[in-house]
Amino acid sequence: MVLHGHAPPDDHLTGELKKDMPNWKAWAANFVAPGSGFLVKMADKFKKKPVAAAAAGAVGGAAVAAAVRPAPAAPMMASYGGSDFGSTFKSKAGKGLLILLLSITLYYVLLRLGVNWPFDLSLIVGLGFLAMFAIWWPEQVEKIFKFIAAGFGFFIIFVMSALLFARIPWMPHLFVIGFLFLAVFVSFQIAGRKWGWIIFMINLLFYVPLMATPMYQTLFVPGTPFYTAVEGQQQAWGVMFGGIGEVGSQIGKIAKEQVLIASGDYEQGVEAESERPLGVFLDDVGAVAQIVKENEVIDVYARLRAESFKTVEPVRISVRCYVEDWAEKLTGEIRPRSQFSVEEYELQDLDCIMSAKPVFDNTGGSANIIIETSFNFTTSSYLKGYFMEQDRIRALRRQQLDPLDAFGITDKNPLAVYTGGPLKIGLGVGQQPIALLSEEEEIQILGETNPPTAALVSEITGAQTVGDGTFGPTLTITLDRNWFEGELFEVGKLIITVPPGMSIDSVSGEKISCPVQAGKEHTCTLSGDLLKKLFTSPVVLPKTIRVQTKINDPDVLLANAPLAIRSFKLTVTYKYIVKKEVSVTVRPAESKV
Amino acid sequence: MKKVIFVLLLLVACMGPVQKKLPQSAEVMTGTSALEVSFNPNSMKDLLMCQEANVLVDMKNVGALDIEGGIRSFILEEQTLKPVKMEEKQKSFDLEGKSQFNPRGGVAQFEFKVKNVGLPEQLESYDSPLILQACYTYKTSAGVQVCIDPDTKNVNPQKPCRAEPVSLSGGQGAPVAITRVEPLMVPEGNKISPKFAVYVQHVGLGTVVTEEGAELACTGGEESKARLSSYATVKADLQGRPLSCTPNPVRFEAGKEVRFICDNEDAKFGSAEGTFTSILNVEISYGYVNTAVLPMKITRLPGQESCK
Repeated sequence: MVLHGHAPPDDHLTGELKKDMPNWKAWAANFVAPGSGFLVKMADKFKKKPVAAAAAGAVGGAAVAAAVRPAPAAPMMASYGGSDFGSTFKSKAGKGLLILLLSITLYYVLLRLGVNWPFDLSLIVGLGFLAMFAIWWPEQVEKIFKFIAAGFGFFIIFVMSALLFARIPWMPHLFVIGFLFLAVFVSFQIAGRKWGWIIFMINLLFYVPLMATPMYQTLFVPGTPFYTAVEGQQQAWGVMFGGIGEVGSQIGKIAKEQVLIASGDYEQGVEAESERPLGVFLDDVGAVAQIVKENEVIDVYARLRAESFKTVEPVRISVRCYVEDWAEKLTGEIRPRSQFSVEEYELQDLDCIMSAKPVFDNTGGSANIIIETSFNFTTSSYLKGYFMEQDRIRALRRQQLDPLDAFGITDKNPLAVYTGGPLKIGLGVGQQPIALLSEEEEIQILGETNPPTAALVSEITGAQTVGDGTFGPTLTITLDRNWFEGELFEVGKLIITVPPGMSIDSVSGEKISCPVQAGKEHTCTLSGDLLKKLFTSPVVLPKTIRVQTKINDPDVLLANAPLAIRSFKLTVTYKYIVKKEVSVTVRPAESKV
Repeated sequence: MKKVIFVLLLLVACMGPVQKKLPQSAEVMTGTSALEVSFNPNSMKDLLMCQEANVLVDMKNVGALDIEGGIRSFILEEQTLKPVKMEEKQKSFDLEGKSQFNPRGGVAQFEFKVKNVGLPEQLESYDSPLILQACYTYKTSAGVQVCIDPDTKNVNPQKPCRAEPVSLSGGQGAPVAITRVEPLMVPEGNKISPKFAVYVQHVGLGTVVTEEGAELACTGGEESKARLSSYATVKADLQGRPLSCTPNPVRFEAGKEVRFICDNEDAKFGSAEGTFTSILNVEISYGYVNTAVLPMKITRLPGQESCK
């Protein structure tokens, strides 16, 4: 005996021990974490020793105790330093009974102590019984354990680890899947290829439907460890796959953006720095009880957080809740109120109260409750434009100088800056600096007798012609999603501002007329039918429109300077909808929840 | 040994006063800058919405020529920042260059006040550059000692000089530098007609424009491309006789050395004149533009809506 014996065992004795004794160590491991006995056995196999003391790897955070393979009764007793339990307990039956007796005694003693134990004390008696049977029929018990471990080991590992890691925020489901993979590997190592595959398939057939369907709701009683574990796992995997899906859709979106940018149909922007994110958010969405009886009420709660800028009109928020696919019929009541008007910042806890009966009657029990918030929001965007005369640009380029470098400008391709919120707004005016062509040059290009049209000059030179009512740069506006969630329901108002000396001529080819004040910025507010035509509800994003401009007074635009820095501005007021969903199960009134 | 020490002491004694008497113009006529323009570090570059900011500008003429009738002009995004005094936006200036009496060159500092007229809606802060341009005419002058050598076949080994390239390093106190001069003795019958290849380069940090374009570079208005191009006119003379230079004007390209050739068809030298050294005077005239940028940041105070 290696661990406890005083005298080293001879080879003969060791061989006998190996042959006759049950694998206590593996059993112990299986008690602590079912299925993990495989690990212990494998460790023994690798060591090729009859008796080994090893600490098995932790499964689900539970350390597998070191165990030794005891010798048959008599030698074993002798090996325990000469301590003898008496002749009654020298037989297998006696030893088993002794252990059972001890466990029952322990159970009563602990029960009497009145300590609030974290586990059910009757477990001790159960373990006592198990130990007794294991001593009486070690081979049979081991076979039973093997069968349980092979058939349900993975699932038990899964449940235990899921429960154990449930409160750890760093993705417990990844640990669980890690353990499952380990178990598969171990089963192949111990049981061999054929049995390994069988075990794997059994578990796969059980695990996949369990994870992918609401089967667990009928299999297990809500609130039990099994139910909680499966539910937690499903949610965790749902979040993870949802995240992967989101990443995938983002990659697709970026690819699509690049194609649109290349074709000139997409303008980019950067979000302005802001101390707090602007918008309306639904946080901490959940249900008071995920399982309710049909004679009870469903209470889904959320925290509404609204953040807007004081300078713009108040944000009007409307909240409603309903059962998915039953938006008209199965609706709930929003407490304390469903309409809000927020000027700067507001935080409001909301409850959606809904009778469970109609939900049960219409959906059969499982329902997704949607909390939907719609709000008007304003997003603004700004783009710097650099204006220079074409002559000056050419003169600088002849010196191998970038025209903007000559003025010490580092931000040579400025991106639009948009304010925070659900939408991002990109603006673009083509190549910078925006070249302005003199009338003299227009004439030089096309001849005095044949006065050129601005469009023709623009086409030939690539520059915007200067003069009365000649064409200015085209302002491209792209509206796109800034948040992953939600949808743009409608655009209510679009305010476009161009620098002094310029005016807005048309929007996506539609002529518009707004009053021009000399020397001032030209602002056009679009609403009504024109907007409905440009943005059909619900608006498919990204959406690009083009604003054609005119240069009315180049002197005002350039302000007697070689370079003019001027901004284009855009303010969009729109209605945006954000939805959050919570799963709720309604059970019959007589069921045991 | 004593004699040697005595001679050395004598030499040292003689060298002292000679060094002190070196003409200061030699130092004045060096360097590759003319006007240096910068925003003083004490300038306010962060300002609050609706507030005024004082901007200080330092100007230093470290070139060899005085600036007269230069123009300084501010470029700013007037939808956001406006000059408090509109007339300060564009002004003329004069600034003395380096001289024997002012070896460091003229220095000037002036103040420019800007005011924020509001920020675009919903923005907490906004960045807008303030650009200063200084435009002026300038000249690069150099007197280069060249060898007029009619003895092209090197018959006389004892001749006082040889017609070899002359390198000029360190500039002439201007952003356009004459870098070297190559005298070429072109035989014409029994005589030679000297030609001089003059190499020049724009080595300053600003931009070269034509002399006529100097003012226009800082102001708006319709302009002809030619005036804004980086051309400089050149003049040269040898022994008081003007030379004709080709090409003239000379066009500069960034980072490249350009060459023009000066000669006088009437100036011919034969063996009778012998080999001698003379001074080739070269003068290059151009307009020059310096630029400085001050990035300004305007911040909105919580609750601020507009500047009205």
